[in-house]
Amino acid sequence: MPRLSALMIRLALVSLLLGSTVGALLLSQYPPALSRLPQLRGLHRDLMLFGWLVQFVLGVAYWILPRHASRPERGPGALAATAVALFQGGLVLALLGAAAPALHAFAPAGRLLLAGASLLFALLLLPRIKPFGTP
Amino acid sequence: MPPLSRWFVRAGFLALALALLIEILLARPAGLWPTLPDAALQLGAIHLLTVGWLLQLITGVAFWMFPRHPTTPPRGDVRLGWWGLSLLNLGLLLRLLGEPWRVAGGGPFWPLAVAALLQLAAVGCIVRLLWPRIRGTAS
Repeated sequence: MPRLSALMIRLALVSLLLGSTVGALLLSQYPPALSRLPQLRGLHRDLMLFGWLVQFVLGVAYWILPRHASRPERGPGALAATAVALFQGGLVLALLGAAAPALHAFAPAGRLLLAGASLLFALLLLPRIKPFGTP
Repeated sequence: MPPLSRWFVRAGFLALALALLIEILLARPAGLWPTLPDAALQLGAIHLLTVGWLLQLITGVAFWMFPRHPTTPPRGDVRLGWWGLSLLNLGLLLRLLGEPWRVAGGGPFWPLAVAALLQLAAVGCIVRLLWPRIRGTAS
């Protein structure tokens, strides 16, 4: 497993744990003062959708899709590192925008970075969608 | 595929089927069974799809495919996985019954609180199970 995949999968599991904790607060409605904050729903959604699911799938895809016959086997490393950095930056901004009403303007910026990261991942992963064993 | 993975995938498909049945119920003609708590059923269906289907399918496949330990047990402590599977499905079931009951019939709140705790504990077990098997290499 390449280091970038390991990093993304670990961060995805952390997001899963955090998102589930927020979800448990929402479902149990305990403690009342915290669990009824209106911003918890957005935080739960962003953690579970982008932080957990999308990040886990991209991390595993980068690891497991058929590799190129020549080096770099998984595409340019700098492009992958940029995509991961953009994704994390976008996720943090999206979470800040969801968590604090005063930082609401961060939410669209976060989405923009997440979209940019997804585009870079598409550039990296699309050429690797091919039968195993082909160059 | 190890037995734990098979059971996670089976439970995932069961959750998918149940979610789709609820979606069919939600798409019924207007005016039919007007007292059904649609909002609670909708939330239940979404969580069956995301937690019941996706999380369980991902966990089952990850437990099977992630790099194995060089020592035994090669896939880690499988008991954590069985706890995760049991707690997650109990929690989901409790939520699925408790939420419509509370919304439609003024049912008690404790099933939802217990469901929240069970699902959170299950996620803790799943993360603990998979975490040691995420190992990056230089390539």
